[in-house]
Amino acid sequence: MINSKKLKIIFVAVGCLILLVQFQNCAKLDFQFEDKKATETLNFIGYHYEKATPIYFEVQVAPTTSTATMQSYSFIAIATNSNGSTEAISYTLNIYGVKGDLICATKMGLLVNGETHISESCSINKNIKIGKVVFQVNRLEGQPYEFVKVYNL
Amino acid sequence: MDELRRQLNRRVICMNLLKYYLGFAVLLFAVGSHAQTLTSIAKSNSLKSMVTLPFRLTDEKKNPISIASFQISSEDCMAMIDPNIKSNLLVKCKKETSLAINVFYQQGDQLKSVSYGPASIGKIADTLLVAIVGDTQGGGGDGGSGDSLADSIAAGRTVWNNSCKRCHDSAASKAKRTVSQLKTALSSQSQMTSIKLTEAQIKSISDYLSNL
Repeated sequence: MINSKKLKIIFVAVGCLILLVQFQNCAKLDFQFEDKKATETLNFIGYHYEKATPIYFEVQVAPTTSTATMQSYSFIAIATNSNGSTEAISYTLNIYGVKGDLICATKMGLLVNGETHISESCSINKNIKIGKVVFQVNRLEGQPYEFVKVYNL
Repeated sequence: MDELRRQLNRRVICMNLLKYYLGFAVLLFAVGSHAQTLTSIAKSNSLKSMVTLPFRLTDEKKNPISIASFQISSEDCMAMIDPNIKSNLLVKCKKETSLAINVFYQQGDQLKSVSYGPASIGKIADTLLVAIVGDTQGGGGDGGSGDSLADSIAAGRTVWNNSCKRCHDSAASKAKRTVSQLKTALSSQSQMTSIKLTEAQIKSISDYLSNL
């Protein structure tokens, strides 16, 4: 006949062990404490807000396809409400040449339902360089915020 | 009869075991669950490299909680606490990677932690991004006339020598710092928060550093 009392004790002990194991630091990931690289981080992230911003927004430009005369670019951007809300964000993207002339049609859109990803494209004559990209965002009926990235002078 | 008794005994033991483990499972869940959460403000399709990804620490009622410190798992990513919104953590990754974050916050006299991830950070583009030469926050404008720029550079050199040179030996090491980067450093670096500069002074330093 099986000694049920002994088995109960063993299984309770195993259960306690499982509970204790949870509190052990078995992490194998190589964590880094960021405060050692503060300056490098500031430069890399490129924080560009002078005060608490209601909207985080940023744009990057990447060349994509090209032909003999034309070069296509992809404009990948992100715009999010800093408080995590899903309030709609309106955006405008203007791309200028080095002489300050508009070299692509203005890109406009509306991010709704918490959408944060923006992807636009433009094809430019290979003789023309992108001077600057002006990325503007605002909540509906809110103050506009603008971020200018200069690519060529 | 003995066989029947044995079988019944085994069933009783199994039922008791199940009761114990269910109890432990409930206990484990209670211990393991957190009221505070760290969530990505950006949607999953925005989790790309080379864009700043914001994360927010909130309690169960979605009230923001100040982040005291953090750890990130990937060597390909860097992070900083938003100096103006202490409940937000900003992360940027150099390339596609897997990202896990631990943030620490103060609760009474205890330091507690909350985790996020691991989450996949995708590649932003198949080609190299176009490199910038500068950036500015705010409206347009091209910085004014050459004379005022020269004056600003000269003023910036003076402010640099008076306020910055004692810690930063070489201005060249801080070349091309923008106004926003300087402001961020002045407000977030503990050794610099005591340095009080006007908007004009910060602009002049930026002009000086951008024209070395």
